[in-house]
Amino acid sequence: MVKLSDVEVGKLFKYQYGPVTRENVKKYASVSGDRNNIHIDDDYADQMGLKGIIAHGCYSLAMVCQCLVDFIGKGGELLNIYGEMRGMVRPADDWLISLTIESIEDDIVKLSYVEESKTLIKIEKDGEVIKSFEADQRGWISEKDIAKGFLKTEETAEGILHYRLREAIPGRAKVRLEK
Amino acid sequence: MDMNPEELKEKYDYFIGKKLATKIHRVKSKNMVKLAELLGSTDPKYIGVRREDGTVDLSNIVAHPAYPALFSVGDGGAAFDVTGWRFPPKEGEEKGELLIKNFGKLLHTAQQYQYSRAEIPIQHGQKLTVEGVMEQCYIKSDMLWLVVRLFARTEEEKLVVESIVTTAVRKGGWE
Repeated sequence: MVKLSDVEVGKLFKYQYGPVTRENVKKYASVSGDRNNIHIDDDYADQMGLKGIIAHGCYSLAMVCQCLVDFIGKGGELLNIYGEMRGMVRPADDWLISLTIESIEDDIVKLSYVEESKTLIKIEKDGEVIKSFEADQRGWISEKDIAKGFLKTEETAEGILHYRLREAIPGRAKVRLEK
Repeated sequence: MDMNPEELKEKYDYFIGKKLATKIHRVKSKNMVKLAELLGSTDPKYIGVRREDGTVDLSNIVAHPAYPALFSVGDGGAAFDVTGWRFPPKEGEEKGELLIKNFGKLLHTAQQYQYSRAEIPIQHGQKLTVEGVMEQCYIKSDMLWLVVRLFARTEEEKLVVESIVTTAVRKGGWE
């Protein structure tokens, strides 16, 4: 939870949620009533050329709402939110949400945000792949991902983790923060 | 025959200002809690207060900010009405052509929720009436863009949320 005294224009706040699971995507389909098979049936999603199910865009936006709820805490209030659905999110992805303070007027804070999906691809050690994730096995990584520089690496205890970091939902919000 | 931009504009302007079919949504605490818990919320405001006997008091919960999507978009949402919209029939036609010809080409593009305009929060037992109007309908970058504004009100005519839903239809879905 963040108070008004904790924020200043330009300050960045980072949050991480997930991982997305097939079970939770199905739960979102159930509670939202959006039971399109591209969200719940891998075979159908394959037939649609999606290489497996994708999470609802509304589910990813809902996680931004939750992030803002965590940000403002019990003393604050979410006044509005706007988001553009740009990138697909899949099972095993994490949601990484960055909030940037854009303006402060009294206790009203305007912010921009970017929700990114982190997709694990593989872990390599001494040039050998020692672990391969679904993204690697199903071919979720595209030439476009490579060309746009979305592929990243990081050192882990197991070896070098290869992952994709891609924009899912950028947007903006207005909140009232506790003084 | 391909239409020029002016002809396309004139064609799709037909839907601007058209009202969506009114959607009734009954707010149930079960769904409110399911959604909040799915998102990882632990705030009693959204999931209820656990009593000493283990039961949960849901009497004062309000809907999570993500809840309005449930009656705005998707198969059960008010904005879904546009998938059945048609142009006026041409001479000799029984029905006009569909605005969206292939539902599979439809993309949820953007959503906006204005909670600050709400007169009361969303709570269990409310029977919400969701009304909407098409604000924009145009072709850009080979896609059909639809922008609808929705208002959800209680039986007492109290606004609970105002939302704007933007949907795009890819090529092959509208022409």
